[in-house]
Amino acid sequence: MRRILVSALLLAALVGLGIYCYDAGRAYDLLVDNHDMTLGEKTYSGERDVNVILSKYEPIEMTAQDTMVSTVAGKKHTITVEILDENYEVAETVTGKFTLKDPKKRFLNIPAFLGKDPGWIMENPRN
Amino acid sequence: MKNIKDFLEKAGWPRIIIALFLLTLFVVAPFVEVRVDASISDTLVRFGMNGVMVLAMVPMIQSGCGLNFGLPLGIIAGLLGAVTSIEIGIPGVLGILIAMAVAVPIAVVLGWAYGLLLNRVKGGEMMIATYVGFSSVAFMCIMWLVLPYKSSNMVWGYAGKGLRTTISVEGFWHKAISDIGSFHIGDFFYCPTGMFLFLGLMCLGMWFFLKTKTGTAMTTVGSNPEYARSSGVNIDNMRTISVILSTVLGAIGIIIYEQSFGFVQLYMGPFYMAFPAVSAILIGGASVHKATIMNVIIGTILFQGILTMTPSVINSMIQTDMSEVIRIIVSNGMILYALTRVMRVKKS
Amino acid sequence: MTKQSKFSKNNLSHLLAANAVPIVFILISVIGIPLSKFSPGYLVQEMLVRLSRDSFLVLSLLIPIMAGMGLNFGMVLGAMAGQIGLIFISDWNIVGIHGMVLAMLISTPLAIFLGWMCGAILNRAKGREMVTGFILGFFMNGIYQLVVLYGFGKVIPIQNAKLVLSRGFGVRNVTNLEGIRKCLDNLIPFEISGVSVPLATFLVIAVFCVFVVWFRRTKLGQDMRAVGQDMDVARSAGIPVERTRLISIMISTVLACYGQIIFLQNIGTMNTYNSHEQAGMFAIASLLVGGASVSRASILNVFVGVVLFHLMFVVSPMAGKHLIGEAQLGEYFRVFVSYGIIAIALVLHAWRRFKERERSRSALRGEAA
Repeated sequence: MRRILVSALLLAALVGLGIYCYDAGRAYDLLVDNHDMTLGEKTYSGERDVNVILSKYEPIEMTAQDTMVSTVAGKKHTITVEILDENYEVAETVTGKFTLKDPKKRFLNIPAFLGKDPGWIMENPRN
Repeated sequence: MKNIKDFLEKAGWPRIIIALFLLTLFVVAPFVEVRVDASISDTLVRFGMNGVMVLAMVPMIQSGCGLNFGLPLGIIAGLLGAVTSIEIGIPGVLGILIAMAVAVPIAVVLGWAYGLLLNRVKGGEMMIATYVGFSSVAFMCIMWLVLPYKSSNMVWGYAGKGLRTTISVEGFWHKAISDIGSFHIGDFFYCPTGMFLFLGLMCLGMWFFLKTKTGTAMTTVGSNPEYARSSGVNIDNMRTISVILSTVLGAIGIIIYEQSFGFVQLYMGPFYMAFPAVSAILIGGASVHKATIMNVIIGTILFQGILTMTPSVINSMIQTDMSEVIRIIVSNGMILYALTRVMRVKKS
Repeated sequence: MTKQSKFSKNNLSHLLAANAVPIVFILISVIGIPLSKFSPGYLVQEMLVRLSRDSFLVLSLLIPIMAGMGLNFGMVLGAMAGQIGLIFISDWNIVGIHGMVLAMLISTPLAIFLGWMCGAILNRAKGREMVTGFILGFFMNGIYQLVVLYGFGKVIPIQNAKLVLSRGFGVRNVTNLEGIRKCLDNLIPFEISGVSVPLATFLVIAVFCVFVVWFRRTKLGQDMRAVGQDMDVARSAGIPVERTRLISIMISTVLACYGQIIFLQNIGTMNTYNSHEQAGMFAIASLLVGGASVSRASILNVFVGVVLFHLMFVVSPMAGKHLIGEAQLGEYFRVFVSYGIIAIALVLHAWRRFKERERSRSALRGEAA
């Protein structure tokens, strides 16, 4: 009886590990965008050069009105945006967290994020 | 009813399943636009091509050495004969005879050494045969590069030395034996009578040999070694004779194969050639310990039939090329079945 | 009693004979390395990589040898199971170490099933385990192709179109494993004087070695060794012989599955239809080169064998090129050596077994030894 219980627990643990790996390892292609964006009534401008760092990945260097692709694994991430001045030095750093929920919303607009707009993760507006 | 049951048991289920499968393929063929006469012709040609090499399995099975996975050794002797014959350059049946004349002595020597080896490793023959076969093919790969053949038909163009991977026998002895007495019916049906005559000759020769004193001694060594020993038969000598015979038949077999196929395949060509022959004789009803000429004929027809029919019919049916996969499954499955059947025999 | 030094003539010649194969390979390497003109730094890095990549596969061969099943040619089945797991995670786009672990998790049940089937078949072919395992490998290759070339995309759904052949079903010849490339190797980054060391992988291998040593001491391990020594004696001692043999093959197959995944994560791409074929052959050749025999193998054989075999493998083509002017010759040479070494090991084993049987038979008959 005890052996069956232990085996069942072990199996459950392994299945749990599998589900965890699936979640944490699933890779998503994200579009990171620095264009001007109008959401509702507010307009955010993407005029500054920025470095975007998602979780522990390499910094994504972006100029104004730029779009880059980034592949990340897992749904929960931290985002750090380093705003650069004319000498390409870091003038300001803004951090945040996000969770990817909607499979259609894979477009990250940085100006909207900097403007603290809750809809900064959206569907690709150019489709 | 009982007769049918007896027949089923004697024939063995795998054989029956394969025969029914082949029959189904032939029946379905016309409905999927596959020409039956072309198919029958192809099957017959392939039967003749492979028959001698399947026959080569018989001596070693009968003498208790198991399935001759080391057939590549004999094939190498045959390749040397074929290549030498092309180097000399005489065409036609004479060319083939020269090839055989060169190949057979080499095969005898190789077979003798191989037999000595197998006698020292009784019980583990099949695995060793496989790897001796593999190693010798790999060794010959080095040799084909180095041997001093010069004929422009055979060597690499720009370097001038080292044999090519595939050598055409067109213009030399392509179909030299197949064409003897051959005939055509319509555009699609070709019957290589010459090859059948040759195969028949070889089978007859084997059948006679098995009835001679040496032949029966060889069979006894395989089926009942203790009795053989007490009758004064030298077991090791008999086994060596069977190995030499098998290697020689392998050498002759590949030459027959080449004259029909049209090409001599060197380097890694002979690497896996033992397996179709082993499968064929097992499909024909042979076991690891016992094989008859009937097994050779039935097995080769069934096996080559499946190899010919499956690509054309199944590809036309479901628009996919499954032939390679089916070939792997059928031929290896057959060998697997035979290897695991040994237990039941031993138990009874 | 005179105190003989340990290195007396008898002991030395016995040592040489027992380790003939590794010694020959050391000689080949000693001759070949200078001929190939490779730098020592390059060779050290190469060997380190190959040790981390191939050792797990070779280690999986130890347990069946212990149980008397000989060389487990059926380890190819485990490799196939691992590859199917990798196809799935490539389809679902799972990357990094999570991808590798998930691949291992989902291919384990398949590997267990295949190992069970292989063990059951081998039990029906006692005395011919190696040939049967060998042919079973080819047979399962056919089934694998049936599933992967025709089933995937049709019966088994594949979402990622990049994996599928242009005709709409069947997995492509090359499966890109870029997502999990070196995920285990680089898990713990480590470098010594310019040579990067895949620390995590070596840790996993070390854990496995500890497992093997521990396993030998468990009851199951002892049972296996008893079965390996003599099946009838073990049976009369009450050991469930068939079940023990079956378990040894099952463990070996699952380990081969993980070994193949570790192997492929290092390479980063998978030849969907070829990668597994070579896995068995190279692993067995490596083990034999390390001095193991069909009936006895140790962990030392594994590592020595991997290094020596791969040294020969890497060095031969270049040595052939500089010696004779043809790299092709060196390549054929290493194929010849790979197969030849297995042939020699099989011959030695069968010869020893045959001699033993003769000795016991003549003892029974009461003849002089």
